[in-house]
Amino acid sequence: MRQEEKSILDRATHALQADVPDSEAITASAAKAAQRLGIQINHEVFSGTIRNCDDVRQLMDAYRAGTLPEARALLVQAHLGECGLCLRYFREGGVKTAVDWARPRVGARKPVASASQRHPQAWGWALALSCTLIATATFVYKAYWQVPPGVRAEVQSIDGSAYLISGPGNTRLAPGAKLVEGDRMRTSGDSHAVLRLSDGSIVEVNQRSTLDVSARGRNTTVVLDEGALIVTAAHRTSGHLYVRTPDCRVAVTGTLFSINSGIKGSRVAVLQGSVDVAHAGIHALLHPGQQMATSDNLAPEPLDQEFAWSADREKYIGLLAQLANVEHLIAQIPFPQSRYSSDLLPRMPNNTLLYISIPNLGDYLSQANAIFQDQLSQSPELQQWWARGQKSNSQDLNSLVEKIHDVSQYLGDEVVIVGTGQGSQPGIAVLAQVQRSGLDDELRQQFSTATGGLVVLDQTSLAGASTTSAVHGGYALVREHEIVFSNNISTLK
Amino acid sequence: MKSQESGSVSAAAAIIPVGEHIDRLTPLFAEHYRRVLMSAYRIAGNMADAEDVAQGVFLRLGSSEAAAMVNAGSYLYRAAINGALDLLRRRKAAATEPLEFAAAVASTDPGASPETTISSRELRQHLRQAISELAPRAAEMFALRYLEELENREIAKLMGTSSAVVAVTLHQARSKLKKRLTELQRGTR
Repeated sequence: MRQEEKSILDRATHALQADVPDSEAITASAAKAAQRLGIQINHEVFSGTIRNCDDVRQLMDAYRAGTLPEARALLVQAHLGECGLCLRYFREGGVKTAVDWARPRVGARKPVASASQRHPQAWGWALALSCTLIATATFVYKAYWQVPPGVRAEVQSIDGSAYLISGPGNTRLAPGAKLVEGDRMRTSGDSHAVLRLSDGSIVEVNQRSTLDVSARGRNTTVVLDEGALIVTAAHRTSGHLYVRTPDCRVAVTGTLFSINSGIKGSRVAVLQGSVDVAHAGIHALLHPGQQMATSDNLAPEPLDQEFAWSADREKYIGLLAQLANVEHLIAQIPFPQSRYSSDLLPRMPNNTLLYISIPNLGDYLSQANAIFQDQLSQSPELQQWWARGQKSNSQDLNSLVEKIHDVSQYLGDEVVIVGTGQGSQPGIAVLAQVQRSGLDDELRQQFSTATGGLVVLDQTSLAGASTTSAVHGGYALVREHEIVFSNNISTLK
Repeated sequence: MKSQESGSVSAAAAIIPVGEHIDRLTPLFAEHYRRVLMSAYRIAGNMADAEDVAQGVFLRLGSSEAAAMVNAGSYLYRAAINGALDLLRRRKAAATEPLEFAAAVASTDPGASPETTISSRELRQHLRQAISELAPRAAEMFALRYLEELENREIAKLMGTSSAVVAVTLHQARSKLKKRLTELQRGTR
């Protein structure tokens, strides 16, 4: 229910954000309003031809303020992507944010008599308060916002040319060059570069990309103005790696993803791990194989296209192909057939609050695991992917699936998850029909250990079990025709 | 339908003198009119009201020393948002709907299905109604955060408060809007 409410608000907010008049209506409105107010407007801002760099530079103020018509803003942005001189002119404009959102102020401030001049006795208190505030602010600043010293990134390799554009002139970068706080780099056309960040993350930079790397406290942020990156984020023990574009921010740790920022917006595609994408105040979590665009104008691309420009494309595309192959093979496994009746439903207690019926997936899981293990053993790319992204080894997965499969052979086609109301302590149980004898021995062999694990009960031992006891591995009540799993005795009773 | 600016802005296309500040107003108009108009349009939901609000904002700016502001953009956008919000509240009190809303059904995106268009239009209408029922300060913060896409700290700076107050107010505003939107959606089914 709460998800539905959130979804409605998000959809409504998106709809309102997208509700803008077309540019002809805006131009007509501007002309009408200017006429009424008796002012002469520069029609170049609202319409007119852009012929050269001078024309573009005349529009810079309105472009910075974000007030150009969309089509003209796109033309300016496209030109800034192509022309280094105009990009420098734009950067030197000195205004980083579109609008100065400070409270409106008129001219220079008039000197005002301070509290200490009017009330000298307040001076002592003000001094004490100031000292306290300064001490607190210093502590908080050092702990969270201090700009750590040192190198932010090192250029590992450059194929083509890349330049440092934040200094007084453009300086050509060479492998081994260090980028510090405030340094901004740009790759030329048909050029690629690889950066190693201070936390060990690797950033592959596509042609015509402009970026810088900054750090605050324990966090590192790669700011991508335009272009494309492939980021292999290192595992971190503290802080986050962020990648920020003009219209979104991606928070990552231990993942492999691409991000592409251009005139129409940004697109994020994930190959491994998961990333949190914040766009227009809304967060979205992306998993492997998923992609997200910040604008409806960006059509979905095949995932391999997002990695096709990389020098390691064979590795990425090979991995994508392997994952697609595994997905295809698993899709071939027949899923259990649909059922139109339930044998377990009539056996539910009267205080049942939740009833979920699913097929017995033991065979399906076992076959899917066999395919995955087979592909994993044959593919070095998959082995690397698994080793990099998973904490457990494949044998653990194999063993768990085999245990589930062995137990599933004793069960019928239907498995039911039930939630029951037991006063102030609601319980959850899993039920299934038993079609072969020997399930209790199988469960003890597979899931019971000397130090705990699953406790297997029959009707007699259940009657004598204490309702206050609880074990970490849960309980299984095995009857002649059914089995019930739960995490507490009172639910079983 | 006329906005709150109707007392100072004539509906006729006559030239309204804005005094000696005309020279300072001209570049501000060229730089900011489009965004001011769009800010007002998103909230008001129709071009006529948005134009009235935008024009009134520039008229006030031109007839005072405010035209000499260092950061007039901040004043203009905030004034446009508040003007449009006032308009929404008065529209709610008058319980009328401009004819332009009906026209919007016909003038839709050619790629969109009628169901999608109407659903989207309804959502916008409902959100506008829900925003008009918020407290003025919360409504302004919501518009600045989610329509103008300002950061919390920028809103705090603009409204003279702390980021924490902005975050709490926005959280409460979102909760109220979610609840109200759900009620309005149910009412239309």
